[in-house]
Amino acid sequence: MRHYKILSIVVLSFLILFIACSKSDDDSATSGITFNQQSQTEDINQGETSKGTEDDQSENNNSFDRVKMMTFVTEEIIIPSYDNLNTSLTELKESYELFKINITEHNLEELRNKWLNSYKFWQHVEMYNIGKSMEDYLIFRSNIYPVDTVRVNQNIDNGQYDLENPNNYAAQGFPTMDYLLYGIDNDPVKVIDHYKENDKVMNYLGALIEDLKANVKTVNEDWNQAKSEFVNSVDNTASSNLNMMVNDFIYYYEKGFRANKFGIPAGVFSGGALPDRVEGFYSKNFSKVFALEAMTSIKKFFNGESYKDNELEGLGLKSYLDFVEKDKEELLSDKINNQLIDAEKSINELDNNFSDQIESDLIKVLKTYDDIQTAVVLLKVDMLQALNIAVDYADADGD
Amino acid sequence: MYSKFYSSKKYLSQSVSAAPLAVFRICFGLMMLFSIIRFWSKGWIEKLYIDPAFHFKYYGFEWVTDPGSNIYLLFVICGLSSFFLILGLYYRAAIIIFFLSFTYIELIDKTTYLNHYYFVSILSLILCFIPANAYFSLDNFRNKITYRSVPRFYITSIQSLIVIVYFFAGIAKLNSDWLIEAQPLSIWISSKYDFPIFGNYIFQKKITHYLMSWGGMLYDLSIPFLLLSKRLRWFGFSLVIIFHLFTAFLFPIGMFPYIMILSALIFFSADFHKNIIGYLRHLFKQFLAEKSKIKLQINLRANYNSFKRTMFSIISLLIIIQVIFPLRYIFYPGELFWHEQGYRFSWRVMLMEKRGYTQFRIIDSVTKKQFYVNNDEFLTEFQEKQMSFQPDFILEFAHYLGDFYKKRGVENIKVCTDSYVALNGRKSQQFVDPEINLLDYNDSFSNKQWIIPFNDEIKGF
Repeated sequence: MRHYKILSIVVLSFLILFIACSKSDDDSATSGITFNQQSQTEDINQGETSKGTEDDQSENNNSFDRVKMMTFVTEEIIIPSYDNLNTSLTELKESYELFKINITEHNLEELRNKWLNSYKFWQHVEMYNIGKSMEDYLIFRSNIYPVDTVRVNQNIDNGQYDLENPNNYAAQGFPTMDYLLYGIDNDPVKVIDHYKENDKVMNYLGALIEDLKANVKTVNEDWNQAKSEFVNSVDNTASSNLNMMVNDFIYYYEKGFRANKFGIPAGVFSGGALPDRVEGFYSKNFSKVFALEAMTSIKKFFNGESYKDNELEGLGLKSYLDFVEKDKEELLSDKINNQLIDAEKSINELDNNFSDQIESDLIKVLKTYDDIQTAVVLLKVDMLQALNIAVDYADADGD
Repeated sequence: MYSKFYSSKKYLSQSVSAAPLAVFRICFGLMMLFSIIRFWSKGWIEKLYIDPAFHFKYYGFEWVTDPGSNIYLLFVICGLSSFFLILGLYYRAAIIIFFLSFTYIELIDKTTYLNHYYFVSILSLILCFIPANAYFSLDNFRNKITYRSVPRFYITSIQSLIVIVYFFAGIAKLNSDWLIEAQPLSIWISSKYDFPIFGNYIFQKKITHYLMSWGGMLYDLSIPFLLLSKRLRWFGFSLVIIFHLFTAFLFPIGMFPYIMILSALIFFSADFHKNIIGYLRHLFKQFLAEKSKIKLQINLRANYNSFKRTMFSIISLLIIIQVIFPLRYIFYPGELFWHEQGYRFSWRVMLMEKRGYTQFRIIDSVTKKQFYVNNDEFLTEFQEKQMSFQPDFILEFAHYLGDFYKKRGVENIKVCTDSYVALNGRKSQQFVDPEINLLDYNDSFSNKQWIIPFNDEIKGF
């Protein structure tokens, strides 16, 4: 009879644990909202428990303050970058209004400069395909190239179009503005004539600028609003903001940066060079400028360098990695930084116009691609292993 | 010598209570039914079997075809057969159908390989030859026979399989990465900083990682003895519960801990199992009230004698294979964790944190024109992850790409790879010779020479 009792207790407790366990499983998978709540309450708990042992913890340096890192990245890097872009788009809009009233070569030049300026700031936000930006497809609506010129001209002629339609992604944003500002003709005088003769082109350009400006503004405002919630989601699960941000960074480096700016036009994935696939194809001279801006944003994000205050030493993936690797002699962050510098050097050796560079000396572009590629391995394999970041798809069982 | 053999034979053919088998059958059926429902409800059938356009096949099982949406039917069959196992109704048919359907599902794509799925397959294969419906089953009513006892051998065989699992899992932990570097647990445990209470402090301590590594090794190696010893059994079983629940909370290992906990019950005495059955009887009686008073207790003991010899030999053979098969890694030069030849099906659990990055170059060897493949055009993220560091996956995918691009008109085709892999906290290293055309090689049991040797050494088994 004694066994009988023990047995029923064991079976019962076992069942309870089982149910509790499978329940918590489901929670994390279903929605991000409950998740954030969880992490927040956990945070509070941590705050409470750590009060007593605060000195203890800071002395031992046992844990890396991920919330602090997220706060730094959000406040000093992401939001200022969006602020910059936002302001520059307002200026772009203003210069467009001027150009519309007074279609002169000088005003076209002004408009082009403002476009270039905004496009450069864009390079600093493209990697944050997260939250509102992801919801609104901001990247798809801002920087899809090559431009679908047939579609653009159709839209212009019709005067009616839905920019939210995915078929129009390649007919809006910075690349399409590039086409409208430079691609109509090589001679600025003829471009001006075109705008003078054709109201519809002017209107389409205006609509694109207005739309982009509104989209960026929405995302920018959302960042300011969602900030506190965002920075507290630092659990090591696929749906936490910390992990999503790291995964997004790597994804951007691999696709948006490596493949779109270099790999695809150089024909790395197609066997033949596609020089018309470069970024800034119509303005011709800015592909390198954009690539270097993007590289700067990558380095700043990785090293945690503030956009507001150059002197401010911040927290970024580098400090996170260095914390994890505190016992190691050879730091992975150094390896990554050296590789990024090498890649930057190779980019610097290219022609301003990537199309020309691809046609005249493809080898140089391929070499640049390889230098960029080497860092993909360091980020995707070495860094993800060191941080043991949970990845998006890993919700199947392991063993 | 002969007398020893004779006495062990005598020992194994002794009649013992059939209750442990009945309890084991019920637990196994319950676990399997629950696993299948869980797998289905998480949407994994679609994600792992329907979505992928291409499946990685086990060597020798390339003939296993993708059933498409009929996979759901397979899961229904598998679930139904486990339900029949619980009831002990048409047991022999149910266990054979279960074994076949479960194993078929596993054979469709090796991306989903897990040691505990393999354990289930092997266990269900052995159960095909074990009369687990002898006692406390609906078959008793069907056949109007119930067997209070069975030859001890049937119970011993299940116990042996469990001992084999723990033994090899323990031996595999006797290596320098696990014991001296506390890897991969260092990486895994310190990344559990969000774990309640322990996460931020205790899990960050190096000493914790060492304690867990050594503890895990000692656990695996000692648990068979604790469970076999009458005096220490309850102690051993509490360890089983604590250890497996702990891993269940820490790692995404699904049903494995629960399967191992319930399987360990087979080591308990006949009285223990009789108690469980008594308890279940009591439950059922309350449910069924006194409506059906079935009294068909016909006791027949050694009725298995005529059958026993064949079953004895088959099961022994299966067990012997299980002892030998995990040792095949001895025949491969180089580091097992690196080339993974002989890694699977050997109860090597949680030994590696391994990530890779593998890109394929399609080359026209005459014009020297080449281009890279976007893996995600062919593979799901999960498949790509698994492919990136496992040589047999890389080779199979290379051949698939070769065929694909041949059809697309690429002539004089070569498939080369740029592949990098990082193991247990080491920096990444090139994995496959980038100059080698993988189409020149076919998968086989012979050593894969195109893998670049590991630039470090892991001592131990």
